[in-house]
Amino acid sequence: MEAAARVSAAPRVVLGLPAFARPDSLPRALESLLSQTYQDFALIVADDAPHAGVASIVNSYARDYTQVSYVANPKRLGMVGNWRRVFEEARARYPQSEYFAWVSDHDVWHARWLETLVSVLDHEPEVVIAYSASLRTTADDAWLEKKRFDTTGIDRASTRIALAAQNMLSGDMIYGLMRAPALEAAGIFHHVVTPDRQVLLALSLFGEVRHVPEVLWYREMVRDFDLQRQRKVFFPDGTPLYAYLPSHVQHCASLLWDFGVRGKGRPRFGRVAGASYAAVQLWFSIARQLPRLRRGTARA
Amino acid sequence: MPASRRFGTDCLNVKAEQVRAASAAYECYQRARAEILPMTAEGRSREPELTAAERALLADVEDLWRADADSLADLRRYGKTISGVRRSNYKGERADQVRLRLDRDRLKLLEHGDPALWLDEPAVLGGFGLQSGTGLFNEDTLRFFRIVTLLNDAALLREFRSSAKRPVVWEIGGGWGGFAHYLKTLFPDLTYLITAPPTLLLLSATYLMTLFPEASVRFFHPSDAAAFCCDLNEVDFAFAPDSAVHDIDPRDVALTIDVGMLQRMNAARISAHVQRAFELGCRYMLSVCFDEGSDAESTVRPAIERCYWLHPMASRAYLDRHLLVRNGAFLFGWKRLRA
Repeated sequence: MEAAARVSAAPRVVLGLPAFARPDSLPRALESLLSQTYQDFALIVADDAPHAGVASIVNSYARDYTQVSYVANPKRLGMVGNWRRVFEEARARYPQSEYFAWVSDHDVWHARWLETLVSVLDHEPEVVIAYSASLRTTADDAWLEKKRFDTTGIDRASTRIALAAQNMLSGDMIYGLMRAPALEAAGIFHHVVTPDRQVLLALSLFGEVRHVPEVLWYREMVRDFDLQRQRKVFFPDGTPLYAYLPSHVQHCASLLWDFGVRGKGRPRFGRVAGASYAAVQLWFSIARQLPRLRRGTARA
Repeated sequence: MPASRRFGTDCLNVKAEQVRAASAAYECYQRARAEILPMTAEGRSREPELTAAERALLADVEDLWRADADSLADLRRYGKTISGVRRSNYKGERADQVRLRLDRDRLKLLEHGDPALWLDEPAVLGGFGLQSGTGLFNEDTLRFFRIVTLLNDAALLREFRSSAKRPVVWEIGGGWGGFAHYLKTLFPDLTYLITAPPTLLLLSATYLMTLFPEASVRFFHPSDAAAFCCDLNEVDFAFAPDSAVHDIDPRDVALTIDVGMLQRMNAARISAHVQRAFELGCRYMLSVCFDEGSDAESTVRPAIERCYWLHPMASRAYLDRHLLVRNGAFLFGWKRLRA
């Protein structure tokens, strides 16, 4: 209860946990978050498959830790919808909060994870996302993820989005700590496939990405990436036709709409720059895909 | 100087160093003995129920109470009863077989781990092993390197490097003092607390006080239990009998470690130790069982899992790949909020 006593009414950080039927791993995930050495945070759990087990677990912690709250979606929103929901709740409840991170209902975090990432964002104003190295885990194995992506020191937004389109590790970075206003400006999870990539591409226009080499996050890997499955869980009411287009085309369209047409990048950058960034993203994403396509053709 | 004469001089220097160490050890031994003896008198009234394995271990070390300076020169021999690592395996024909295996393991471990965390076995007080190029090493040395590498992989060692808040490391049992020496040499700015039956404390205290002659040391006094933990993090080493585990209340215990002692205890004593670490707010616990899959490990594991979540780095495949753990279990956990 010592931890609960230190929580402020206006936390600097909000952690959004989109829950989906994992009562088996949820207590461990919640405890590793509540054990953080940095305690000025609120934790919102949005349950997309309202489940008595999940509700009772979260509520039992909420009784002892006032920073925890539970919301159940009245109707299934799907993965994209639930990730959006938890961010919107965070902004509505804590509009003054500075940083936001999505957290899962099955991973584990080192006790210094949040302290370390907050320190990065506090000391490096150009950084919009800080994320740590991770250990990938399964039920009986664990291995270090050696790849890293970092754009610190790169001033030009066009260079950052080009690098992001080619090399970013979206599955890791999307669980990083982000500047909430920048994330809001970037646009939260469009209804496209690989929406995490789309958010991160947009966010790269607003600042740098910083990788922390220390392993502070233990990421459960259940299955390999599967586009078919993603379409199914992202669009619970049926997959729209555009979702069958290549993902980089979908991302380009959403970047073009947000920044080239609606001008959401202002005052940081104007519509023309926004449209050019969408084109840069498309060009470098295609360049990234080409070797894979060639390999696929050769194999065929 | 001709090589043969230089070799002779080196041998003389080593001998002289060993004699000096034995003499220093005897002084440390006398002080430790005087401090620990009252614990035995107190302990008799609250004697914990020891298992046959614990009684056998203590019987092997019992003659330490009657040691003289000459026998202390070979203090390290007591290590074999604790970890099973014996000097005779590092001599003669056996040494070649051991060398083949340990050399390969050492190189692989250094490849995966941070060489800066490697520490040779001290040659004094009967230290033994194979030549590593910089000094001696044996199976205990490799085990200690594995433990420290695991702590490093789990991003714990940073807490021992920062001097803002001096952490306390609690070792259950303390063995012959080898791991305490290893960790304290790498991270001088921490307080190392050892709880064990008094006979075993005499062994580790003598070893550590000899190897760290400048260290500040505190012993538990049954008549004034409260004083033991007062400003505990200002001392380098603290020794208390395991019968007093529930009477001591150290602050800032960052890590509780057990190298093969819990596996010798009965279920009630294992639970009592783990529960105490939990009550003290100790965030991490690491227990090394020498025999994986044995009855002992199957008793230690559930006791730890009641109070600690098993750390993802403690997965079998990870340990096998990074630490080359072919037998034995490394049970590494982080504290639950609710036990």
